[in-house]
Amino acid sequence: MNILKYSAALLAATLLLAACSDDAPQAPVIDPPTFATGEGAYVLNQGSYYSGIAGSLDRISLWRGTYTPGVFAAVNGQSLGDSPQAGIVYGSRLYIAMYGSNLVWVVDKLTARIVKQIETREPEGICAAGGCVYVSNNDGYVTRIDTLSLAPTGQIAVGPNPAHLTAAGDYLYVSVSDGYNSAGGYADGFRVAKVDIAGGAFRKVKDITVGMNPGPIEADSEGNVFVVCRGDYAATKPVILKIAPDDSVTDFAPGSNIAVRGTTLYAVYNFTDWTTYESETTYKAYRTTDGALLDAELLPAGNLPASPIDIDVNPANGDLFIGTQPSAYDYTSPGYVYRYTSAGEFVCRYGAGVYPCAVIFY
Amino acid sequence: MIPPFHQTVRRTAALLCMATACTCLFPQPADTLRRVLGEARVSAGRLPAGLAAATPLQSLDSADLRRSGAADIGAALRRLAGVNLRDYGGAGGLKTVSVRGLGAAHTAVSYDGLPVSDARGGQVDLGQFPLEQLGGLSLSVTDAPELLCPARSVAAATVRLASPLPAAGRGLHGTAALRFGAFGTAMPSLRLQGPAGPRTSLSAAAAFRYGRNDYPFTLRNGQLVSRERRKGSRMQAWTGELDMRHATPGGGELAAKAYLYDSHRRLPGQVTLYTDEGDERLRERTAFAQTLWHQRFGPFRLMAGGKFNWQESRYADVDAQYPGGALRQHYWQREWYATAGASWQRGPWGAAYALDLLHDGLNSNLPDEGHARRLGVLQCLSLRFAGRRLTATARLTGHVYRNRRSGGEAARDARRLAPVASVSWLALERRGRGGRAVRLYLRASAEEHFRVPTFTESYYYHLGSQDLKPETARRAGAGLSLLLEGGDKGWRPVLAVTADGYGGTVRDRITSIPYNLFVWRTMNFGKVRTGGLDVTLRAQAEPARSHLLVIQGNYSLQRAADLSDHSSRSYGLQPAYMPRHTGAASLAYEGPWLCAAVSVTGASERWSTHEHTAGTRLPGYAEAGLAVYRSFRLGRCRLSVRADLSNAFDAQYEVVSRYPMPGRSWRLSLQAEW
Repeated sequence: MNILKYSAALLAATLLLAACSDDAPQAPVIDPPTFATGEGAYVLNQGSYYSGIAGSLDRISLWRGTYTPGVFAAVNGQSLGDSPQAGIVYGSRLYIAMYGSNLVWVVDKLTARIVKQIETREPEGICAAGGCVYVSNNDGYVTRIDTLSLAPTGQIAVGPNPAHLTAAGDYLYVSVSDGYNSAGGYADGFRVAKVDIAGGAFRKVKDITVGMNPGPIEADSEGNVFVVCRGDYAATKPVILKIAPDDSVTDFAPGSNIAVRGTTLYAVYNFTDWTTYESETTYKAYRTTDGALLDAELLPAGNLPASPIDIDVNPANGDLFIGTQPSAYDYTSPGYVYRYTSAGEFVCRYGAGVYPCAVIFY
Repeated sequence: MIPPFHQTVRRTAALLCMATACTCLFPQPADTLRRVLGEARVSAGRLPAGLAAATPLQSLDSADLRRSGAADIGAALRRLAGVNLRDYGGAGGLKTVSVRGLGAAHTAVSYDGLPVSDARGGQVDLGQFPLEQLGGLSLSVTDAPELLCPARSVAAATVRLASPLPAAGRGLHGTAALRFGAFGTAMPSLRLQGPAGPRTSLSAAAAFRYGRNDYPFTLRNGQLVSRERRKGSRMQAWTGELDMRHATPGGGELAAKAYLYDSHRRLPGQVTLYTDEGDERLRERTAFAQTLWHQRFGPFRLMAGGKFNWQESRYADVDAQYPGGALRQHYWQREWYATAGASWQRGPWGAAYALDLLHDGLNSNLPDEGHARRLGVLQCLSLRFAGRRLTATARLTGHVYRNRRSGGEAARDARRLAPVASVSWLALERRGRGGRAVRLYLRASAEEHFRVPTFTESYYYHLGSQDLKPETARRAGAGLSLLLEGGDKGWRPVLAVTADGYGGTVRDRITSIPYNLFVWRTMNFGKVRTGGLDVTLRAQAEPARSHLLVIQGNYSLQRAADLSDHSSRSYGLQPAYMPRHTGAASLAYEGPWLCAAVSVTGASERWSTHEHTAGTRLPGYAEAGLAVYRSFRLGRCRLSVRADLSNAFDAQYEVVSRYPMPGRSWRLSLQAEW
């Protein structure tokens, strides 16, 4: 009966909700059902912990063009929890790192129904490789979760405040930010921990020195790893560094958030000068192999997010999804997800939850 | 750090032994004893103070507090119209007050005549003052009622706390009390008062509070409903006070006070879904010494006072994610304060001048904040006409603040003039036979107040900004006070009603804006329009000799609208955590055999976000309380016993989102006075 009830509720919500909001800055373009692969995407909304707003999970049906908010709560009859940070679809399941609630949700990727609740402290980043899901715990560890038993099977120390992590080849690359040590200049960070995961191994191999306060980290199809060093939000501006397979590190481009597909890197640069209160935001595309600037003005003026939080790229077709706050000063009311083609043409704007921080494709 | 409960019980027993010993050591004169016992009789309540004041003044003395059913200072503050109490729940929860839609930093707090300040955060935690240690509290809005007062007392709102006065003409006397209640709360206290010369009295008081505060609450998470308990909220606090009052020849008084406060609190933090981990601790210590002198010289009156205040705050969030395994933020504040003034009165005319000097210093263990200092010079010139029917007051307060900081840029200096004008008119006065009387006062006021940025707003790492301008509040109001006295026969009814409406704006609002989840900045941003209505009611009657009925009530309508940005979602909406309607009412019966008070307090819906985001609505609430008490004679002592049942219907509600308030709880108080 419950399944029927929830299905009916979901169906009703689906029918009621338009895919793209009518109040988008320009006339929305209806999403055409052109996807051969990639059925949909989940939008992870972080909420606002100190305003008592829990996180939530929305779903975009890419082929139908519909947007369904709050699917986790609707299906499971309970809240997603506090301060979700990241998620990944691996196999038939979606794994969500819930920093505030000290857990990782494992849910069925098609129904959003809970499969398991795995307790782990302060999970922030998440990635998957070789039949395991890896979670960076903000208290200094990376936890390995076996996707068959859905239980933690190991934990290693990597350094203070590991933020995000990614898998490339036989290794995990973990941003070690020391992000809670801003007063100390993030001194114990400045590194990416390289973790060997080949053949069931799970051990830290080395630290690769990078810039201040490393955060988002992604790998391209050639085994290069790109890490955003977020700086101190003041004098030190955010930059992207490239870690080649031989662990050499080079400056790549300015940027505060990245998404990588194949050998294309999409970079958002967002920086506010707090002496003048002026913000600068740019969107550019680079070729990962040689750093060539593919598009200096990726997104056209007129349909730009107000205050970008996150950028994600649909691996199936290269569409870009950018989560944003409704305005730079509004962090407690629902934001948006802007959608563009891989060439930067505006497709539509979805009304999301509070602080949409990740779009996860399946 | 916090001793277990059995140690607390031992300390309690020791205090009670001390109290008993004091009684034995200092036998009381018989006349004193009679006077004490005489007080046990039911006496009719006084007329409410502040009815004739040109600006709203609400006072609650110890009898009012007893009859209001308020069991703690949070509950007592809700008995004041215009007050919006922010309460994080439980005995150890932070309690701050904002008045008439202005932020809590606009509310000044004074204790025994001189300000209690917090230059760091700008708001005083009123939870540190146990209600049982107070002789009364009052709230003045717009202006101070006295012509001659420290310039700092001329604030948009001032909560005035007063310690009990020693009884005149008595030998050594005192009060020993033990209060204990639900969730492991216990509070022994002792106060000794007595003469130290023909014109001098001394008073010493100490109180200890302990609470586990592990109260249950209902957690609703979608369709999951569970019964949980607050964890990690144990607290203990000591308060010690020494007072001296000396009546100077010619109608003056010299008062001096030393105060110590030391508290250890575990902070349970907000309720987080699916986990109850958390280990936050706060130790706060305060020590101050103050003196205040008033003297009459013919038509002149002089005032001088000084205060030194030292505060320490040690916060720790024990969590492996922080460097060293804990986030530790330690602050030390020092304030030197001096005030002096003179007034002159001739016939209905009066004038006063007051000069305040203050120096605040703050340093911390955070390297980026440096050593911040602020020097303030405040001058206040007042003129008053006080005729039989008409009272008019005009004040102009000049503020000059200079900021300095070692190791970084200092905040912007500030100079402002703040005018206040008020008028009260006795519009109607009728006196009939047998003491019947009707009095109606009409009043109006206009004011401008401002507040300078706090040290946190100026200097806190990444949050603070040194360019902030003061936040300015302008307000105008009008109201009436009506007093009906039914005469000396029959039930001797008395009814007092006040109603005050107001409207105003706040400009250059100081607010924090997020850059991202980790970094915020403080800015002067936007404008807020405020308006509202405060109503108070007090009625009493004596249906028979020694039987007294007292009804007290207050209601506030508060409307504020954020007019900062027309395109923002919060435009025109009521700011977060500001209920449109709040109120409290109580009915007390005092008789020779038993006294009882029933009370109810409540507030309408609020939102935890300025934008009224879906899911952030906090529903309105009402909680009822019941108190039964009586006093009786036992030997040379007057014993008082009181039982309180708070939140009798176990209402589950939050004042601050995710900080559940305690449900039904009980408390038993035993008090011996001799």
